[in-house]
Amino acid sequence: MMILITLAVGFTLIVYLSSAAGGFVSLTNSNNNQAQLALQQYIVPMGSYISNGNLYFIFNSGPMGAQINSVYINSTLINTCSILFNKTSYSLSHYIPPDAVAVIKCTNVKSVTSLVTVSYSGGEVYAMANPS
Amino acid sequence: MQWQIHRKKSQSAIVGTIIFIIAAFIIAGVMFSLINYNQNVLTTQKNSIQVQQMASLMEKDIFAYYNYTNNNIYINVSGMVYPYSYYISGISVILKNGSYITFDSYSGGSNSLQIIVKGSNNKITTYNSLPVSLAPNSSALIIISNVKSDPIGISVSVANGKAIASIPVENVQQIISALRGTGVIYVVPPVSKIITNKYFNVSFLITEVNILNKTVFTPANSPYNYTWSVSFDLNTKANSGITGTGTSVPATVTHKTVTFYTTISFSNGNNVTFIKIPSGYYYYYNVSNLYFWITINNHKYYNFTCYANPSNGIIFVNQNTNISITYNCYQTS
Repeated sequence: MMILITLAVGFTLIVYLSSAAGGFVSLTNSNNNQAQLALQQYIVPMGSYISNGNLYFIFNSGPMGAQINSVYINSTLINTCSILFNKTSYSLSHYIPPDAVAVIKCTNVKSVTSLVTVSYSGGEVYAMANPS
Repeated sequence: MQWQIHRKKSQSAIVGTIIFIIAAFIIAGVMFSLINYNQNVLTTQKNSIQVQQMASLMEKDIFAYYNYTNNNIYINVSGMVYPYSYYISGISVILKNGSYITFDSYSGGSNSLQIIVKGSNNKITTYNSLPVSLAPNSSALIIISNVKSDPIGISVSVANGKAIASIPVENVQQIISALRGTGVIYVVPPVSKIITNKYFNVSFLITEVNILNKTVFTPANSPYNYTWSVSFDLNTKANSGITGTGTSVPATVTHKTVTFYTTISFSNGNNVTFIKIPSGYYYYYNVSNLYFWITINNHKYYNFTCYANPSNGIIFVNQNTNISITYNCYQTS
């Protein structure tokens, strides 16, 4: 009887530990894959300027494409931004496919030199925008 | 009784051993997972560094400048010593009137975009859409036509499938005026572009002189005289502290006599080659206008001025380079 109890406890312990170890491996691999993807998802600024109260931020979406989430001007979140890609305007957030040149347009922006921060799926990117 | 106690002890030892072995396997599995995790993290970091290095090398390797004339933007993309191919994935132009122009692979073909790629074998290929692949030691001329306003910011994005870089396109007029002011090339080549102990030849070859109608030149057998020079700025070499051998500057040819009257050919003795130019640097060159006249019975008739195209420019020397010059002629008196 004692042997059966010992075996049952041991078996339960083994199943639990195996499950925990498997979950740990799965989680670490998933995190690692996400980190790798984030590293490859990056955008490069190609130009930024302010004209007639509008901010324009031109960028290339890089080899993996990227999800554009939000735009900050001088560290302030701007809610008047849209993203123009392939002759179509989209609201944020929006995914841009690989190797695409897209333009973020924000309206009602002061015509002064500004620091633009774009938050996307791979991190953040910064650019200075001058009035043209 | 004693036998039973001994049996129970044996059974307990066996069970304990089994549990110990299984526990050891689990611990080994967890350890393996941790090692695997660490390896993955290291691989991720390594990939990240590689991608950053690729992007950095691409930025340093490619030099681009533009010229804006007659509503056309001419962008020259050169360099590409980096031994892997790139492709131009995007172009953006910010205009003075507040608008912008962009091209990418999603734009499709465009009549206002022309990309002329010159391969290392001098083979010319023309495209009107992106992406356009660039092999090492090739160059590209991008022509954007029907541009209604002055460009104030141009950028070309290049990629290699893993990394991407944005190349700022410089204004060639601003570079040339800076060069003329000091005689020093301000465009400093990055370390990756310097190929030590390598020298190449740079040749200036006049390929065509668009001479005026031959009926102007009577009598037909009168000789023409002309003067011509080409200069090639070797100051970069001197100022960068690199020693090397160069030819005298400028090379000048004056008062040659030619007998053709429909076409003046400068191929004999007028192909000026500067030898042993240190590689890895940008050089500024200037080709003079061509002046020629007809002499009849020791009297000077018919003066002509021919304007060189291109009359100046910037080249990056990393191989033997041949620059073709075309002259467009006008009668000046």
